Order: sequence, then C-alpha cells, then structure tokens
Amino acid sequence: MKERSVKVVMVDDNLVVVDLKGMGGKGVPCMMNEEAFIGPMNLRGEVIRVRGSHADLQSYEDTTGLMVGHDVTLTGNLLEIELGPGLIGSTLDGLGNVLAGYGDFIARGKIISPLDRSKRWSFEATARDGDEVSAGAVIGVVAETPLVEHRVMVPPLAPSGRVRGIKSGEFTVEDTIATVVDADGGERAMKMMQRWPIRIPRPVAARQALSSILNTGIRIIDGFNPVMLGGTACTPGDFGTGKTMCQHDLARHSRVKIVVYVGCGERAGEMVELMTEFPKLVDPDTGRPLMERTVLFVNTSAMPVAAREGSIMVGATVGEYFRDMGYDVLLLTDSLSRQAQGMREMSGRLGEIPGPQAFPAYMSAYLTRWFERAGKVICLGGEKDRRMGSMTTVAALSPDGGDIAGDPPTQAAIQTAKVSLILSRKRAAARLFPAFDPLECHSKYLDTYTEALTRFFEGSELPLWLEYVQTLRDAVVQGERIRSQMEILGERGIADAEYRRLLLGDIVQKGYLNQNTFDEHDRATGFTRHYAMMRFLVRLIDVFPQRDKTSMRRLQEDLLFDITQANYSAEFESAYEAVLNRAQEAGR
Amino acid sequence: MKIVYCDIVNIDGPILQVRGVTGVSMGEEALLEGFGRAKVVKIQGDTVFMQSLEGSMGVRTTQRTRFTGHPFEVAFDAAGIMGRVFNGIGRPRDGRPEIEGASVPVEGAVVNPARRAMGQGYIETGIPAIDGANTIVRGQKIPIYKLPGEDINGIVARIIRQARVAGQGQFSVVFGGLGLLNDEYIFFREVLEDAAERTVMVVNLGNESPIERLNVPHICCSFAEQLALAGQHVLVVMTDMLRYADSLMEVSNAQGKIPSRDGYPGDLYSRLARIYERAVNFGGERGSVTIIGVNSVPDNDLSHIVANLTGYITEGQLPVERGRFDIMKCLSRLKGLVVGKETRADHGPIMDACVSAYANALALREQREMGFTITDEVDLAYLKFADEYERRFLPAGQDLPLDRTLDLGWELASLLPKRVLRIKKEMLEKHWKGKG
Repeated sequence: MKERSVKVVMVDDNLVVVDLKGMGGKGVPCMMNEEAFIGPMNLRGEVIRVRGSHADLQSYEDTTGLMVGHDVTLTGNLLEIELGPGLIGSTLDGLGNVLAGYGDFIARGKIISPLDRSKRWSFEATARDGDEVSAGAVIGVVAETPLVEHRVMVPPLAPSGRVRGIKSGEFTVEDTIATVVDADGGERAMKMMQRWPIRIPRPVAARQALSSILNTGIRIIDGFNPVMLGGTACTPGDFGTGKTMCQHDLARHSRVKIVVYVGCGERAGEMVELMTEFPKLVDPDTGRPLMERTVLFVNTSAMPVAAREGSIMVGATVGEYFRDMGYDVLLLTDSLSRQAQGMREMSGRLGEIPGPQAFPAYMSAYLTRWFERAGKVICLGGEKDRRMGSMTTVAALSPDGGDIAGDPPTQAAIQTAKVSLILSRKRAAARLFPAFDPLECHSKYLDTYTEALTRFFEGSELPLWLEYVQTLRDAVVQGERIRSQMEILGERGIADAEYRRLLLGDIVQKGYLNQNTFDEHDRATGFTRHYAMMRFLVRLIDVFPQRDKTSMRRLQEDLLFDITQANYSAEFESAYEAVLNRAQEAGR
Repeated sequence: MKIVYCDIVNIDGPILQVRGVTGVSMGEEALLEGFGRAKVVKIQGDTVFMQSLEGSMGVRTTQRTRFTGHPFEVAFDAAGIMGRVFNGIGRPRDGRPEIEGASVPVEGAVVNPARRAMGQGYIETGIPAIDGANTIVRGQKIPIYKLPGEDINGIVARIIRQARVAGQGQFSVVFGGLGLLNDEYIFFREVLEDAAERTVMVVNLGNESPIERLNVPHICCSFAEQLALAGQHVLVVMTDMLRYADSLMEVSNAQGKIPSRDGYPGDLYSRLARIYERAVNFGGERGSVTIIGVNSVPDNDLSHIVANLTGYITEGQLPVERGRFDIMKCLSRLKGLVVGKETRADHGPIMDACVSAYANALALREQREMGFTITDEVDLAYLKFADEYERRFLPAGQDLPLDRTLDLGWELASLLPKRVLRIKKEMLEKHWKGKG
C-alpha cells in the first residue's frame, strides 16, 4: 500500500482517531497495525483499531499541541525496526531511536536510526558468485565490534537464488553488496541492513529441544533453579527486593554472545547506571568493554505509555536478529508489569471490556506469545552450515501491591516462564541478597529436562552437580522446616540433632545462596568454582559435629565467618579446607 | 489568542465541554472569563473537553472561553522566586507582585536519559537514619511514607532547614504543599521565613481546587529544573502526595475513565512517574533536582496502591512511624553511588551490619514476646543492641554530621561480638571497640 493522508477527528491523550472517508467520499484503505505519522509534529503512531469510517491510532509520543483537522500519514508499513551493523553498543529508546541524538530533553517527531547511513563498514564476503543461497543464508561478515562479528544475512522472506556481483570492501548499510538472482531471473539487491516488523517473530528453520544451561554466575539460579539456554524465566518481586539489580547482574555476568536489555517503563536513573557502567565493565574472557556485546533499550516511566508496549517487541526482534546469526542471546526485560500496565491504560482509553483488575482479557495470551519468541533454533539458511542460535528470556515483574498471587501479569508470567525466581521482601529487608526465596523459586527444567541436564553436566566434567544441588537444597528445606517448628516450640523444644540441621541449613543459605554483588570474587561464580563450593558444603554437612546447641551455634558462627571471607577471596580452595579441618577438629 | 463565544454543553464535575470550536490543541490553556482557567484534555470533532482548575461551581452554560494557543506555563526568575509563595497556577499567594521572567512550561518535556549523569554527591539532612543508613544522593527521588494520622511536619521542616550539600554549588529548596490545611500552611510559612534566601513554596490549600493541586508538583519541578540547568542543586520536598493521587482519581472518574485498582485510574503509575522522573542530575557544570515526596499510607499498609506504585517509581523509601524511621523498611537505592566512595570506607559495611543485627534482634524479640526465655549471651547482646539502636540511632529529631553518625554505628555495633558482624577483618580491627 502507498502512503495515504487522512485527518484527525479526535484526540484523547495518546489515542488519536482519524477519518477514513477521505476526500470525495471515497474510502481510504487502511491496515491493522500500520505505522502512521501524526500531525505537523510528525508523531509516530500505529493503527490499533478500525471502526467503520474511523481508525484508532495510538501515538508513541506526547500529543500536546495536536488539533482536530491535522494531517496524518498512513505509511503502508507495519511498525518495523531497521536491523544491521551499528546496533551493538547503542542506547535506543523504546522504538529504536538513538538517544544520544537528542538534546537535554526528548524532542518529539524525530527519528534517529541506530544505523548510521554515512558510516562505512568493512564488509568481507563469505559467499561467492554463483553460490546458491536461500533466505537467512550468511553472505558475508562485518566486524561490528571487537566482540561481535556481524553476519550479514539474506533477508528472511527473500526467494532463493544465485549470488552475483558480491564484493568485499568498505560499504555503507545502504550500499548494494551483492545481487541474488532467483530461478525466474528476478533480481534482488542485498544490503547490510534489513527491516522487520516488530510484532512478528522472525522465521527459523526449526526449533530445537534445549540442551545446555545458561551460566549466569548467580548461584541460586545456576545451582538451585537453572535456566536453560533458549529458555524463559521470570523474576517477580516487590519494590526494593532487588529485581533490577538482578537484571543488571545477569547482563554483566551471563556467558552469552549478545545481551539485549530492555528497560521498560522503569526509572531513568537505573538505565543511566547501565549506560555509564557498561562501557567500563570488561568481559572476563576478552578484556573488552561489555557494551561491545550489548544493546540497550531505554523506555523510562516518564515516556509515553504506548512506546512501552512497543519496546519489548523491538527488543525481541533485535534479539532474534542476532540469534539468526547463530549466536546465544540473552533478552532481559525490566519490567513486564509496566508493559502490561501500558496495555491496560490503552485498553481503558479504547473503552474495551476490562478483565481482572482492569487488565485487558488478551493480556495473558499476549505475554505468552512474547515469551514464546525465546528458544533454541536451527537458523534459517543454516541448513547447510548448520547454524544454531538461541534466545533466552529473563523478565522482571513488579506486582501491584507486592501481591504475587493476585497480580494478573505476574500470574501470566509464572504460568508461562519455565523458571520462577521469586524475590522475597523479608530477605531483602534483612539484607540477604540476592533475595530469592529458595523455597518459592522453581525451575521446571529440573523436572522436565533431567536427562538433558545430566548429559550436560557430565559433558562439562561436573558429574555430581545435580546430586550436590539435591543435598544442599534438602539442607535448606529441612533447616526452614525446623525453624518453623522452633518458632512454635522454642529452642528447647527441639532436639540437638534437629538444631544441627537448622544451623547447617543456614550455612548453605548464608554461605552459598547469598552472594555479594559488590565483591569482585563473590559477585559471579563460574561453573568450576561453583562446583568446588558445592562439594565443600556437602562435605561440611557431613563432618559438622553433633554437640550441645550452644557449642554448635558458636562453631557455626565461626565457620560462617570464615566461609564468607573465603567467598570474598580468590584463594577459596585452601580456605574451604581449613574450614573442614576446623569442623572436624571441633568434633574430636 | 483565540476568543470564542461559545456555550458550554456539558458540565460534569470539573470537566466542561464546549461545542463548535476549531483550531484548539491538546494540553492548551483556556481562560474561562470571569471564572478561572482550564486545560484542554480531549478533543472530539468540534467538541473540546476542558478540565477546569477551579472546579465547576458557578460555571454558566453561557460562559465565554478564550483559548491561549499554548500549554500551561509559569513565569520564572531564579532570584525573584526565592522566599516567595505561589499557588497551583503559579501566581503569587503572598500578596507580593507577580514574577517577571520567562515563561516555562508547567509539565515540561522528558529529560533524555542519555543526557543524565549518574547521581553524584549527597544531600545531608543531619538525620542519622537517612544520612547513615539511607543516604540520599543528588538527583534521587524518594518518598517518606507516614500514617495518615501521624504529624510529621516537624520532620519535614527539619529536612527543609537542615538540608545541605557537601562541596560546591548553590543549594535551594522548593517546597510543594498539596491540599495543606490552614494551620499547616501557617507552620510552613514560618519555616520558609527561616530559610527565605534559598527556599520557595508552591502551595494549594485543602479548601482550594483539587485540580490545581495536580499542577503543584509540576510547578515545583519546573522551578527546580530551571534552577538546576543554571547550576544549582535543588531539593524538592512535597507533601502530601496521597492527595495528588486522590485528586487524580476525582478528575479521571469525572472523565468517565475505567478505574483499575482500588478506584484509582489506570494511568496513576504514569502520572506519578511524570513527576518523580523529573528528579535528575544533569552533570558537569549543571546542577541536580532531588525529590522527597511525603506520602500518607492508609493503615500503614505499604501495599496500598499509591505507596506501592510510588515505590516502583522512586529510588527507595523512608517509612516513618511514631516519629521514628522504620529502618527495616527503609531503602535508598542510590546510596551505593556515594557510600564508601564520597564517604568513609566503613560507611556501607557498618550501616548494613547494624540493620542486619537489628533484623536479628527483632526476631528474638518476637520469640521473647511469645514467652520463650532468651539466655544465649549473643542473643542477649543482640537485644541490648536493638534497644540502643532504637534509642540513639533511629529517632528523626537529630542533627548529626555524617562522621558522627558512622561513629555512632560502630559504638552500637561494638555491643556485639565481632564475628557475627560479617565485615572484613581489617575494618573490624580498625573500628570495632567492643570487648574480646
């Protein structure tokens, strides 16, 4: 469809209604979810409902100053984002504009693409003239950053054909780097950039069963509640429980190729922290700044609400694009609740019949569809060179009133995401971080992917991992059970043997599950150190002596002090040995 | 300026509808001649929906309306506004002349996150529970939660009087009163007089228009933003934000919007965010805006929708109960930016250790209250610690320099054996003063 012009007939905050009757009484055609530019300020918007001769648009920008009678341009495209070299390292708003391009305040109606049209990239062709290529095939590479080789692919919907005139050299994203000629002689120019509509998942050759786990460095996740590569997780928590901190830690320490971070309707200050810190933080493997593998989307709470909904879709699209290159991508979203609230605001304005707590009835299905964009795949066009890629999603939720059970978006997320990492206010208040509640958290992967996990850990030479996890988890569960008994019966009401279990449960909680994000050694634990730590604790549970309550407690306090100090140091193995000796000593 | 002689076809609470008007824009300021001001909130064909700032009592259907062609603005002059009192439309309410200065929009545009700097420097209040355990960083936004019946105006006044910034830069305070009662207004005017050279007030009284109340936070922030762009560090203190939310509900219901939770409108989060997100640190030569919003919390239930959404927007919270900060629920998210970096190295560890020990002691107290006898010597030390912590550290009515606050923390922590403190050895050896 070509561009068409229509007129505004109603404005209600970011809901704009246009008249489709047009000039001369002939109807103007219009497409659902079509992109539009509204009024002289050129506000970006999208068609979200058509009713007879009227179309409802949501404006992604503040509509102050808009008048009835102003022109609206319907573009004929779905709302799309540009993909290509230049995305990595940039900080974009919820619709993909480069924030650095604006002044002190966000100007309206100004589109600033992350793909710099004048920048020349050094393109190295990997396909040769005459090669038969299909949609998704890699035809060349660009060193986008020292950490990321950007693989230039044939766009997903392009017909197969033979490569002609491909050449290496310095090109802009708009230059033609090759032509693909299909069987009928049709020619299609290949460029380094492509476009994709944000609401449609990018196609893949095949979806795969998950087979490995994401190393996040956070022990309560990697140990007790593993998230698989290509899997989904949610982290619901009341404010102040460390949701955002957890998302930041995941972005920093997760061993993946690409991190896409979507700040959705949250505080600007937190995003500033990421923008300031990431260029300084280095990737432990390469010593390069983490920003060289990261794309940040910043849609803060003060920005118009409609763009919130768009931002998580834009983030997923960019994540899928890098997945399609054959990379492992981590998509972090903070927070999905803001997205759902944005949807609720818009739904209310449209006068739709409200569901629970005024959320629209389609909210839950919408979130499920979004989570389902995660996965492990055989990439399109990778049938020959067998590229595998994955996108793992971890989304934070901020339940209204801190009420996890009664908050519809949180419940929708918990039902869909395979791992629920529930943050506890009580633990956060007691400064026990990360404040995940070990009794409430759950990874469905432990139940359903047991074989795959066993194979993974055996292959990684960590054969007893799952056994250790089971022992430590039992220790925590028993400890907590005895604690509740003690709350009723008092310390004297429980046997010494049970008191010992309580103390051991606390050792596992404070010496293993708690992690100090400000300490350079403790903040992220790799698999090898993690394994050594679990082995040590399992042995400690074994050798911790059975004595009277007071001596056991004094011993436990001393050991916990030593364990914490060991966790804060690089030399942990010998320190753990010393702790074991001390415990054995005390038993003699 | 567009002058229209039109009839008002609908009056629905504060929402007025006029018909037969063209060329009016969203958010525009309108003057209801001989009555007051209104803001355009919706336009449908030739019908304009206005929100009257003065309510609607006395509005005639033959009311003449003038549309100004621009959104709401207030006059601003950096020196001229100090020591002055303004109302909810930015006009003087102290009987002194109008401000002569450039007009600035009341709501303003959104600050570009990429142009914000990380919080830097801190606001010292002299109150140990804030400066020590919950340091407020310049550019931060943080609410004080209180019971509706509790009078914490004394604490608010203390913050206005005592607040200071370390280091360079001019400092000023913008006080916003939302629905203040008359005696409160008189009280705060006296506070203003004590610090007139660096304080400005924007006040809407309890018996005045609730719609005007919605403007107060934005006028405060617009003033603060302008002062900050000119290099000042500004602290905005507003009370009571619950009244803001209630006014919003009133207007929203009058517009026929579907309420979402507890009767509050679905955009409550976005509206509160538009205010609190105006807290900013511009960085470089320019200044900062720090926001403290006082918010009544019905039944002290922090899951109340207004407090809860505020908690998600702001960077921490400071609940007060019976004149004392409820330290277990207090949080300053940004303190890590300055604690131990701009303050003493032991700042973070000792303050966290105290809070952690206090949490432990509270659990012990609970046991004692259930009738169990506490005999363990470490447990008894915890209980002793808690009593002293409550007596000396938590009360709000103090004015201590930060160093003294930290020393007080060590003094209290020295009541406990050092092995339970979970602080690095070297630091314990330097500061811990206990026995054994």
